[in-house]
Amino acid sequence: MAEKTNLLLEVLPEDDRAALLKTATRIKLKLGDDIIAPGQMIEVVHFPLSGIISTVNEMADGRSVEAFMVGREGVAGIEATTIPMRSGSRQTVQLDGEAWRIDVARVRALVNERQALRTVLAVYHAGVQRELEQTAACHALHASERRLAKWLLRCHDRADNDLIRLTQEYMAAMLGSQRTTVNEAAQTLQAQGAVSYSRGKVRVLSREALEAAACECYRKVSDHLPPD
Amino acid sequence: MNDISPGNRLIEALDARDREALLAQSTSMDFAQGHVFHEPGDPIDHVHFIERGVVSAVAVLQDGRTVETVMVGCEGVTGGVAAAVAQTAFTRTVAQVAGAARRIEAHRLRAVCAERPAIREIIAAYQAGLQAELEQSAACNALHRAEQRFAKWLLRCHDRVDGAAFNLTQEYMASMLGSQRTTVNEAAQGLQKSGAISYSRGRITVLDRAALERVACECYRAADTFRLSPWNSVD
Repeated sequence: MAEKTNLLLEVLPEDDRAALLKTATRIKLKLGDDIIAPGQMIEVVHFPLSGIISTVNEMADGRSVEAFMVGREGVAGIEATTIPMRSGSRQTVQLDGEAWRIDVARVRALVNERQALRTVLAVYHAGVQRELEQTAACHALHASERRLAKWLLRCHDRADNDLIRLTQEYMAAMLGSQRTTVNEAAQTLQAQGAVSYSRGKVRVLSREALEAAACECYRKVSDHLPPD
Repeated sequence: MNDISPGNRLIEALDARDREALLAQSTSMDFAQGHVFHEPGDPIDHVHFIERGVVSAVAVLQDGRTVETVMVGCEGVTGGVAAAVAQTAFTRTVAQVAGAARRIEAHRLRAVCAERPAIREIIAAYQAGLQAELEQSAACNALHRAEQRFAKWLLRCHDRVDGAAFNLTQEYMASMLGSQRTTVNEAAQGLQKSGAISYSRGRITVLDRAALERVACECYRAADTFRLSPWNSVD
């Protein structure tokens, strides 16, 4: 199997990549690990090589909703790569993997000097903003079942295989839905042959069926993902 | 005519040399209610630093339904994503309340940004605040009732206009919230009953901000912590 890579790092000119990775630490992403809590200063960024980091917004009553996810196509902490920033949301590991962890002050210093790095990060950041705008509309308008299908596709895009460890409780927290609603939606997707679901594991059986069930938002926000 | 006080908070926050460099590349414009700055898919040729009025970014879905994603007044800039790299518009950008802006060609802004880190940074701070707000909105739109979201939205309009009254039809408000018109009607009546607003024939008057704030969800405060004072978010 080929060496795992982060796609942003891959498109950088060799010397920019080397400069970034000079002080990077390769870390393991473990399901459930918190990367950062809401309101904390962003001190490090993570370029995943595999796995998923979710950005989750939490309300005062404890309910939560995922805003966006970052896999090997992106970098978590992008908003602090030009100026120091606090995180508005929680970043948490949703799928086991590995990442390059880099001090964000170091990234800022390099961004300031290197036009190519600035451009690559700006393109990614613009993509995140588009995705968030679509998601805001999606959450106001689309039914849970379509959002669940979209969300599973996005997980699957970033996962190494078809089997993803996800409890219903977790999916409900990501979608901001009731657990019973997620249960119903998952059963419908199962009846359609899109997924099989048992004991906290989702297996994607048919991407086509999932795409048919998902809202238009899946395609619209996945433009920046690499082709399969 | 480049007045000393441009009225846009981002421009005002720059030091004199950066501000002049930016203003030298820009022109003044007035815009009417309903003016469309960009449709989805248009190249972002111009970036607008808003001085007065309110501009909305609106996501347009395939079935024609719409939801506002971002509201911009004198605290911000529309098309800010194009300050770093050439971009096409993702949303419809439309004036919700008439006003004025400093308008700058996007490629000229990129050239200025390439040379002046302070301009780059202030736009980046604004865009980061926008990101935090969008994250909050993604959650808000999934969880909060139409009445709470409506109150939040009215507060955000009120923050950005000069007087207490503004012209907004129910149809328009429904298209901003992604709600049915009847839902917005009910929400408006509820707020009217509680004395927070008066509403008649497309004109809304905010009577009691405290009452509106009580109805609005926590997202009103959370978003504006970042948005209206981006530099406060930095240690």
